[in-house]
Amino acid sequence: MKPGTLRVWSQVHTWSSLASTAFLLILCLTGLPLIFHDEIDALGKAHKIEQWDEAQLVPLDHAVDVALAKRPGEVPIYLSFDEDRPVVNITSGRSADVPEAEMGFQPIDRRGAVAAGGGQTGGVTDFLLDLHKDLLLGQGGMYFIGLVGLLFVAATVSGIVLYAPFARKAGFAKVRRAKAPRIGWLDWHNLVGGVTLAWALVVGLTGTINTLADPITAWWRADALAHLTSGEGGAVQPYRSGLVQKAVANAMAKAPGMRPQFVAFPGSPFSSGDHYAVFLQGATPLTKKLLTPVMVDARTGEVDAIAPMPWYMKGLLLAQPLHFGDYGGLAMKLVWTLLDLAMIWLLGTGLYLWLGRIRKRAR
Amino acid sequence: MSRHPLFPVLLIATIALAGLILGLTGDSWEDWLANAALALCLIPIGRASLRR
Repeated sequence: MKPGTLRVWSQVHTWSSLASTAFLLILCLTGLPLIFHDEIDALGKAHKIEQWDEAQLVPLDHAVDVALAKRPGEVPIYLSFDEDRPVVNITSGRSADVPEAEMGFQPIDRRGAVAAGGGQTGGVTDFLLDLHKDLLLGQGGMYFIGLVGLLFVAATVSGIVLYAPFARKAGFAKVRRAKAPRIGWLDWHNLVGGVTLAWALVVGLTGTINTLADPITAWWRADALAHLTSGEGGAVQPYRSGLVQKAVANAMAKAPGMRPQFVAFPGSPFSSGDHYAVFLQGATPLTKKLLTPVMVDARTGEVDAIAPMPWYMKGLLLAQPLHFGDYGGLAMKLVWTLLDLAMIWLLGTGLYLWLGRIRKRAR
Repeated sequence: MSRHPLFPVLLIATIALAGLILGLTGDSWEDWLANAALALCLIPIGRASLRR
């Protein structure tokens, strides 16, 4: 590599790293407990996978009505299904398009249409997640974190490019202890940065994709969802009890072997004004994450259209597990923790090396 | 012919990436393979720390 090219890469590495280090440190520190958010949330709660008889459950509409009776004047926005208990979670609000902060959330046990436990927000992990995803600054903060993710990717790629001449000189995974301490730290920095390359790139890129969830969903709603519903628009169909159960049953009949994950009511961000969008998931771990929307007419309960998600929505759905590392059991969480700690160490040594260079120049 | 100095880094990255993606496709040996591939990233760090 020519000295001039090396200098350019060095500048990219230095400035992309410096601009993002403080924020990456916040992300790594808040991300560390978030790896174990399931375990932390379950602390002090008895959790077991329950068995139930489908025939004894009340219809979905009944559960929605019970939830709405507790919040008069509100309309249903989403209905989601718990996997390990016969509980549906009803999200409601004054209208279907209210901001997330104004939505109410009620878990309803379908064995008796009574309120179920869970659903409380405002815990430690919720706070850490908010800090992690938007620095408590809302949508603007989220886009900023996306930018930090891109700077991190630039720092990682430029770091690898710069590592090539060092690896040629010192050899891969060699730390020159006999040399000056600074050389030793540089070798460690290069080694850790090199071996964590794939993980760092995946976490950085998927983190950036996750910050774009709102515009990507809005794009999907305007593009693919509009095609699915043949561009029908107009007023939002008001909620009528008696159609949700039928909508879910009809949707499941169109896609055998799939089960509902959640239902978006008419007017919500994941549906059109006159459709129930029933999101089905497959049986395998991969198809479980790649949801298939079935658009059901909100007047008749009949299926209008079914289509797999477009590539960009699939990308968004897969970015979440790839960012959080929560799909490989406790072993993956432990490795994720070690890699997160390695990243914190990388940030610290990077800063130390830069400060050392500045001091050397000042002398 | 000498190997490119980044060959080991790219090899580890490819294996880790393949493991991460494979882990999404199943819940048994796929997860085990994903975890092993990720743990592979950490072996050179452990090896370098033990080397005198």
